Amino acid sequence: MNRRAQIIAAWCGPAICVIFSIGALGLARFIPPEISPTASAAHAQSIMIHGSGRIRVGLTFMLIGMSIMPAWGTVVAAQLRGSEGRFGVLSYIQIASIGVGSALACAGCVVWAAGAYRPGQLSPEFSRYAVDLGWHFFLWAWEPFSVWAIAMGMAILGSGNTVYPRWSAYVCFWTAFLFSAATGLTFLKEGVFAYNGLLTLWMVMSVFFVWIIVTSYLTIRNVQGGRFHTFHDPDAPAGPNPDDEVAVRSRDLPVAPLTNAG
Amino acid sequence: MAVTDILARLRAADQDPAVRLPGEVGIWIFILGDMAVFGLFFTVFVYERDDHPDLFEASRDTLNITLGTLNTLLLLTGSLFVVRGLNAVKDGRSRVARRWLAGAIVTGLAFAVDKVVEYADQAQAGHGISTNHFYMYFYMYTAIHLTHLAIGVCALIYMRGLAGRPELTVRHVRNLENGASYWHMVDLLWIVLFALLYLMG
Amino acid sequence: MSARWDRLTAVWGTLMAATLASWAIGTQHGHDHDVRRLATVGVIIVAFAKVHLVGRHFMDLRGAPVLLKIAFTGWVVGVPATLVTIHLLRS
Repeated sequence: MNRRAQIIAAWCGPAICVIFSIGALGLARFIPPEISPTASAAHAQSIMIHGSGRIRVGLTFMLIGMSIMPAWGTVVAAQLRGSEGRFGVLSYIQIASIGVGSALACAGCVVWAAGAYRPGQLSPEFSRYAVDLGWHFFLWAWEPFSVWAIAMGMAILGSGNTVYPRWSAYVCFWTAFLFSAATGLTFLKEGVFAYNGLLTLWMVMSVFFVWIIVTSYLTIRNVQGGRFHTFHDPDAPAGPNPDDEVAVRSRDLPVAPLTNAG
Repeated sequence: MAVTDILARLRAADQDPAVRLPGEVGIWIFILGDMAVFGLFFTVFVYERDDHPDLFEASRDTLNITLGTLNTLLLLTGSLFVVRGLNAVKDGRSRVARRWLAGAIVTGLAFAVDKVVEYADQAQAGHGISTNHFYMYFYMYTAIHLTHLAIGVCALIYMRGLAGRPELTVRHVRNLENGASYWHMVDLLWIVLFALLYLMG
Repeated sequence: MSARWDRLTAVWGTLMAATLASWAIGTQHGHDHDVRRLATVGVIIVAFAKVHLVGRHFMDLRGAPVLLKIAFTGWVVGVPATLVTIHLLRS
């Protein structure tokens, strides 16, 4: 059971990439942004009106993607937890930061959805504000992600090559560093550091997905290599699990193999 | 020559006892990854500069090249100090090593002070991050670099602590080499940033 | 011991001298377009030559594994080549 849970959680990594991309690239088209930071309020309103249906469907996908992120992050923390000893502070930091980071990214999607909720009834300025606010939640608040990645990297180094290879810790640090390029978003309305910019949006998202794929691969390899536990409760009564008893037996089921009666 | 032959040769060369990786594989993944992204930074800057050469040139004129040069000299000297410090550690002279590393820390802090002075000058002149694209690149690139430097100074302080230990394990030496390699990366990224932001005319 | 000192000091001296030379050039203002274009190419090449020295002597890549040397040299050659090409084609 633990093995299955871990494998499912680890596969959430690639799943985030796929589900999120379907929503963001295909449906909501927030990547690449249809509404740039320099767009007029009227343009923002018009996009939110004409695309309100597909935008909200796409945001649902993005929301699901960002919501399974804690499952993915937790399996990594769980893999590392054992090597940390009794006061597993780095594991707890990871889990807390994933919670905050995921909540902020989800909040971005929620704000965008609310912006598309009453098409035609929201003033142009409000429509544009919803778009801006969503990007601030989604991308500008990168810090919890960096805290998470740094804690993960430190835990990997601390576990001394027994859980994840040491080099993967430096992939975490690299990711944590490069997230910082999103800081410029709030100061700029155009160029490579604006929320539709090459270095803010594209570079940061690419680095994030590279990190997820690399870590997912290593995690799945760990679990398949035996890094899981089988449940054993010493207080449980001996004997077979009552759930395993036969409850229904089909009368149609042949007892012996059928022979050709010809 | 087939790809497999090339790989076999590379592997054979790496098994040469004279061949040694400074630090560990991971720090080089980090360094090369960071250099790759900065390579993108540089390319984007040069590409856009040539769209608005006059605007970029006029803005570059407001930078204090002397302060920029001073920062380059500081980092180059700091890099030399770090090499000297590491060599002293390996020779078992921990007091000398600590002195070199303290010198490197001072160059790093002086760099930060210089940068803050420069930011204050620019802010005083009314040049902010959103004034034009030259300043956007200037502030963003130098701030990201300054973050790298701040972490590098922390690494140097840690390294100076290590250098004072009576005994060093393999792990300690590896961490010292990691820290030194990182610090040199901070240096070399600045060398290019300095050329592009301050000198490219 | 002393050989190591001499090499490092020479590398450091070269780097410092190159920086001061760029400073001297950078503070002068040539107005001729072609001169400026060439000066920029020179500035980029000098910068990456400095990076090469830092890598080879300070980062101690002289004795590093071949793959790392290839990757580093690839950056030191590839990035300036890209920058110079963009600059010459577009300015």
